[in-house]
Amino acid sequence: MSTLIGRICDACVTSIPVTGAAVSASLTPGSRSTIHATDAVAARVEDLQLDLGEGPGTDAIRDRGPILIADLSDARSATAARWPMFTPAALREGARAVFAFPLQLGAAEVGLLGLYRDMPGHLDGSSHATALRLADAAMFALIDDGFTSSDPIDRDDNERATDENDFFRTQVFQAVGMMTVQLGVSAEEATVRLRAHAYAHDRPVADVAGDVVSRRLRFRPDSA
Amino acid sequence: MTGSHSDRERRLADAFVSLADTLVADFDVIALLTDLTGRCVDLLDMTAAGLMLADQRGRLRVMASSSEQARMVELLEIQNDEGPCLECHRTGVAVLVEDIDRVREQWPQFADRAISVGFRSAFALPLRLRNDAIGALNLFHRDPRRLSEETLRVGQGLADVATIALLQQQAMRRSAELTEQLQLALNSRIDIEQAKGVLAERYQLEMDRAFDVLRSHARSHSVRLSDLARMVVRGEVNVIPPGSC
Repeated sequence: MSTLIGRICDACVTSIPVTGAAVSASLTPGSRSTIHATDAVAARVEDLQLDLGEGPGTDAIRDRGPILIADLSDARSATAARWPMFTPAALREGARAVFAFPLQLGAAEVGLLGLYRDMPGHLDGSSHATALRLADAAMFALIDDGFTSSDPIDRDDNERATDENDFFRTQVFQAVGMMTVQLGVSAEEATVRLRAHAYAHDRPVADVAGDVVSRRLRFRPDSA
Repeated sequence: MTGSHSDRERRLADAFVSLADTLVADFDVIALLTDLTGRCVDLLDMTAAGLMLADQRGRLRVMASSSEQARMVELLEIQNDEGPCLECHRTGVAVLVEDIDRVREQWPQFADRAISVGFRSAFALPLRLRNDAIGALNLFHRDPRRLSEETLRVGQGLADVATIALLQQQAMRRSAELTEQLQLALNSRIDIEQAKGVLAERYQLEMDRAFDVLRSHARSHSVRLSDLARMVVRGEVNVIPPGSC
């Protein structure tokens, strides 16, 4: 039985020239846990960062943007200086190129998509675009799971894609902000609740957000 | 507001000199773009201006606006479906609508909304990068209007300032991919929208007032708008609007 996150990781390997992929979920901002890895090396690259507290994924989350290293052993990319413990250890494991994509929605820190390749080389423009799309898919999969590894509500890919597109609207972000106050929860939790409410009531998330922002809908700590 | 010719020239020069702000370490791109929309209204004698940027899905997202009112934001966002901004982004050239009444058939939703907000003309200028448009600068006026060559030239120059400012964010960093540079700006805007929601709910404010409160606090504390916004959403900082209990 495969999970959605597992399928997304597999899609990374088949549609992008990389050897392996791993997705981790943020437990609290700055601390994360691996949810799925396509192979032992991908898992190791993540574990190393969690153990050592340094690495491309850690920096990607902190700096709020992708970190793309075409060759860990290239002196010009200064990875040895940046990650003195991670770099040699990752090379020993067989990772030569590493690409880390933080999964974030503004202040909501959801997790990380980490890709590696056993040969050096950049990601070209189209691979980069594919990686960003798969990162988004992974992000929403994690949100729908409430950040656990179980399979989310069964929806078809088109529905999912439309929903994800609709999420990037001003009112949706504003509604999440309002809900953090209404519910007394983090931005991550508010995001989960907003999506869950939309699914439960079979309404587009942008419509629910519109109701929240115009104050027709209020979330209370005890409501579903 | 118009002044003497030399006064206008000075204000125009100021707009280009503001680009130098992008070279400092703690450069705040959203603040700069917001100021720029204000400058557009002033220098081009417009009623409103809004800046949209395409994300990696091709969706046009609001980056900055001279007005944070919901109706203005909706008018900008509807242009993901139809309107001068969408056409400008697709074609990479300026799209000039001198009388919105005349495009009712072509863009019914856009025309309806624009007119109900009080606009009668609309101009979309491309944020040009090589052969593409990464987004558009949207200008609106309350009357039907034809733009002079001079106004168009200055307007395009201001759009170019926006493009350069967006690309400057990562000038200091290793990564050169355009998509990453723009991701940073797009994500920063999300921080700000979430923070607006927090303040709007906590203090029962309208969204545009919430934005003003954030902006003044950021300025007076010399903090980037988006950094302050993230701290507000995470509960690390509280911003109290003047006059609240």
